[in-house]
Amino acid sequence: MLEDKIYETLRDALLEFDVDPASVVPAANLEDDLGLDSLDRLSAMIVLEDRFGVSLSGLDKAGTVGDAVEMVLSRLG
Amino acid sequence: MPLRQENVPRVMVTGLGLRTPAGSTVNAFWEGLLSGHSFAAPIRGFDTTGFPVNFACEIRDFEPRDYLRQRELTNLDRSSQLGIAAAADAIEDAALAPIDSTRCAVVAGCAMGGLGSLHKQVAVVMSSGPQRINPLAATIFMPNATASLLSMRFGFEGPSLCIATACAAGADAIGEALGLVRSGVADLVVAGGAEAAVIPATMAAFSRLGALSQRVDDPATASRPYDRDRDGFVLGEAAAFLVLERSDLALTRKARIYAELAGYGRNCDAYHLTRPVPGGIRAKQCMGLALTDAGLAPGDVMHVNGHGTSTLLNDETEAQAICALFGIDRPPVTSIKGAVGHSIGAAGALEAVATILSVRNGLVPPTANCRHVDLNLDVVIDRPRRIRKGPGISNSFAFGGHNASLVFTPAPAS
Repeated sequence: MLEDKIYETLRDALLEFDVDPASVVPAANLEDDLGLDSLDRLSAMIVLEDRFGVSLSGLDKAGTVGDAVEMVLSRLG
Repeated sequence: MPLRQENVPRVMVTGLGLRTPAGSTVNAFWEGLLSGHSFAAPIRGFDTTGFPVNFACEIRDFEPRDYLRQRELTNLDRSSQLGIAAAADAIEDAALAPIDSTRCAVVAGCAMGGLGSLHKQVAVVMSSGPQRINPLAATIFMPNATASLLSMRFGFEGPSLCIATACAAGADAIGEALGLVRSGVADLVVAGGAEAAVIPATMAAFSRLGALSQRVDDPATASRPYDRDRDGFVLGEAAAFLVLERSDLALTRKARIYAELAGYGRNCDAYHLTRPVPGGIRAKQCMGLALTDAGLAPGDVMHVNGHGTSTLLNDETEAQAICALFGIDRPPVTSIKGAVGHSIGAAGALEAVATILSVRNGLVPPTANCRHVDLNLDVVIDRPRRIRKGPGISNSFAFGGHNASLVFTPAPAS
């Protein structure tokens, strides 16, 4: 399923930021729970743009993992 | 030139840390130097197809994961990674007591800094456009990155400086640190240099300039400082840091003292971007300044750790300077660049470590690959040479005419 694929890609990409894959759940707040500051989220956005081949501008403003996945789904759909 | 003043704090070396082509520990490095072995080999770090010079002294055994998390591996230039590992080892080696962090400083030397990372980010911009650049790119290639990272890692809130005087940067960083303690600004300084110079841009540039040895058929014998058949230097990577402490504080906490950092001299040839001023007059004066600063005379020096790059010009000019300063009672000279190559911004710091070890152990390592000396110098060759306990002087005479000399003397008898 596309959503699963997005989660999988997100978990893999966030390994580069020392994020434990098990903590990448919909309710997790990117900053407070996963420890990603604004620059980390910007870097993560660029990594995901490369992985999915679409522009994801604004993704770095997403609050939770769930919000981010929603944004990717809407850009891909 | 002001003479040594009373009531100026003295400065002791209480910690050492390094990463070198000869090894990642002080013991391995020292053993490597004593062996007379050269650590030059064909480059593995990048594809050297088309490069006229394809060999260098690389660090083969660096394991950054021992010190850094994944995101730091992605977002730190190799030079910063080497610097962090070396400085962290030095701090651990010093086994510090709690200290006022606002009086702790960092001075890091480099010549090119994050040039390797800059190269990669420029490639991304050129191929994929400016928006694909790593958002942290500026923090990765800025030359001050290493100094900043060290201050953060150790929580040092005093001065944090980056010195970029090419091949003298590592020595100048240590010299500036001496000044910070003497002037009362800092009680403790982590000072040294880090450079990851074995990258395409640097290899191409120095090769095209004609500065590198072309001995591609026998890289292991290419770097031969002071030798009659020398033909240029061999690039190397390295990082080396000292922990420098105000003497009374080091003695009070019964720190293990390697040596005293007794003097620092620096001047400029003001002559040419790459060639030294003929006769080495300014280099001679630089050594003189360092000795005066240490309250010593040329006759007190037991050995010289030379700049000795293995280029025709530097080695000849340095020999003239040494002869002019020391006369017939000249001390033995060695250059570690025969073993570990020229690590540019780190060289002065790595050579400071070698000088400290020579002063401490009463032993001067041989200059690797040096067989026939056609200069008026007493070069230590073939095997290590025993010396009497006493001061050692370490020279760095850089591109751009930046000269720096450091004087180390034996630790005070307890």
